[in-house]
Amino acid sequence: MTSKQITRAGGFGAAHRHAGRRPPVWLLLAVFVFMLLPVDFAGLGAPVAFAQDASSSQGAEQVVHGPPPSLSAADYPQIAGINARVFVWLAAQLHLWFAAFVLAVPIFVFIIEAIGMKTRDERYDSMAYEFIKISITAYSLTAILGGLLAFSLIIFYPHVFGYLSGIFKETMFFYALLFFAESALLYIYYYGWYWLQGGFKKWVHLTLGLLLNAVGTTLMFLANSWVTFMMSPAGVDPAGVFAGDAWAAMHNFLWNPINLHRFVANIAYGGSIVGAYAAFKFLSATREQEKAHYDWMGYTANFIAISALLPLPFAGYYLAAEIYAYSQQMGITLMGGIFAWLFIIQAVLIGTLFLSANYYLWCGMGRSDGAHRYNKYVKYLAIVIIGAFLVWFTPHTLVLTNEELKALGGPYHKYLGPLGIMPAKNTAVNIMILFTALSFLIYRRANRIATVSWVSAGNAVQAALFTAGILNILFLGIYHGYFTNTVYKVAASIPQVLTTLIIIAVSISLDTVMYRGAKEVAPLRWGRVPDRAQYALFMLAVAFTWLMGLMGYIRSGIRQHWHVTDVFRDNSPDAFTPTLGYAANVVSVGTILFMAMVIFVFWLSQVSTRKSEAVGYWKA
Amino acid sequence: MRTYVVPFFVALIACAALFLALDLGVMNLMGLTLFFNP
Repeated sequence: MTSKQITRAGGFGAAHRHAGRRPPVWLLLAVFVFMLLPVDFAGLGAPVAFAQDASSSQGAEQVVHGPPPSLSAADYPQIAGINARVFVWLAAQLHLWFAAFVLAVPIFVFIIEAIGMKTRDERYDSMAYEFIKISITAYSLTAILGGLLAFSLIIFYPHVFGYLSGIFKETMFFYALLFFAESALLYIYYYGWYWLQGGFKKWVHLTLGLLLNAVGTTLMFLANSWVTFMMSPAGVDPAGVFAGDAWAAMHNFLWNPINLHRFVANIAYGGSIVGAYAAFKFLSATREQEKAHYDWMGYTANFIAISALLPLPFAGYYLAAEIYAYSQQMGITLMGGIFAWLFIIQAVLIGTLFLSANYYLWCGMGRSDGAHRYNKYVKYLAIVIIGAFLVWFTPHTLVLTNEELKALGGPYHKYLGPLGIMPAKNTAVNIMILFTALSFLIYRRANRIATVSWVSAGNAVQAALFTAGILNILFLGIYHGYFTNTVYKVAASIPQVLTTLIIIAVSISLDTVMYRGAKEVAPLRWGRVPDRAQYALFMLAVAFTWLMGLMGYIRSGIRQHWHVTDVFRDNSPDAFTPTLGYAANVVSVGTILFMAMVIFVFWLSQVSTRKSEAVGYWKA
Repeated sequence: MRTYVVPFFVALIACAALFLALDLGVMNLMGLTLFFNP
């Protein structure tokens, strides 16, 4: 009997009785907590090391790290004819895709494991284990690509790397140390999954998961500070001289907006990738039981992706507003200049995400025998979502020939032009989000019959809530968007967002109360879902990847000819903004490379379960 | 009919008042009025 079998056979109670004989767990925990403590104090708290540096000379005049060098094209090494920018671009992007995935998976694995502990339903535990199993191979690839990125930066951009590492030497050092903690925690969390089962040991395991997430998120925040420093430098004087306040450099203007946006986006992204894994397994499964399992896994992954996708546009809007607040010039380059056209592609991809996620939910209604009561509403949901999607990606100006311009009477279309400005987009995305939430509510109801006496009144209140809320969103979008000035236009987006959030929160709460103690129409038939629904999951993962690559390029590209905005000039031969087509091609090549690696990871997970009988090969 | 239509309109008026209060409150917090005041 293996240890896994022993733990399972023993159950929670048996495992709990043995928990006291396992002191190494405590020892390991103590070691990790000990490792984490100095990191928190020195890396995130007061700049202890810098305070000591500063004491050696006098206050503000002291220069801890000099101004950035003034470079010429000759200062950027050329190796074997490789285009340094494209190489670093792809290395950074591939590293980020994998990093986003491996940081996100433990977050929802932790939540699913906790749900399993609360409900004592072992299926959750098995699913959480399968999720973390996928991220293990991806974790190695993340580290390899991180190494590739670091080396390529040192080789191709030695002065930039030198300048940044001079300012962020402490955070980079602690980043490296934290990586040990992250690796150790991840491996113990994964390999100790069946060892740390039952009772107290399960709590220890969950605590390890929490620590893993704390370390992972801290790692991301540290790396984010380097990136945002390049966009919105702080802690340096206008010449780029660093006086030693590491916290000021870290806590630069765009750090928290990026932290929030990446945290939410990573969860959505991680959900979409494991969704693709579940779809892959579903399509390759031959047994009904296996299909049912992977269908459930795919549904859960899609649920995670949607849950994080719904607040994501708000986090993105906050980030964009902060970019404008930091530098209006940067903001206009972002959304009014050359990059604005990439935002149209972004809009198409975001629309694809919403359509895929909704389509998957609608297909999933086939699992329920009670879904026929709601099928008739799906077409209306689809019409509204597609309508909002069309408004969402309508450009403000059009790419036209001279003849077309003449025929149109200018760059703006009479009817479509007004749909190209932000108030129309905000209104459209809020409605798209609301109808996605409505899709989810209908999906939840499909298999249940409410038994409370006030069902009819409850439905009426929900309908009224949606009606009043949508009218409010339209009022704010149309009146403030088209009949007031810019200050009102921007300000009105906040009550719009709040209206959406209130509708979602109130309607889900009301629905939960209404369907408490509800009857099931029939047991849900997991696995009874068309294959095309699985392709919607693939589309979700591909669209997410593409979107991240595209927006990552935009975020980095708006620095234009600066390594560090307004402080450190980029004088490399590549210090220009490439054409949109070129940039889109690089992002697409990156997406294909990433997808190939992800397929490799999925394939490995298949291979690891196979066994070949080598009859006659080994000595008897 | 009465179990649906009456609650619908009562809730509609209540929700509309709630959202109007929300708009007023948020715009006021930002030093603006609900209706454009040039």
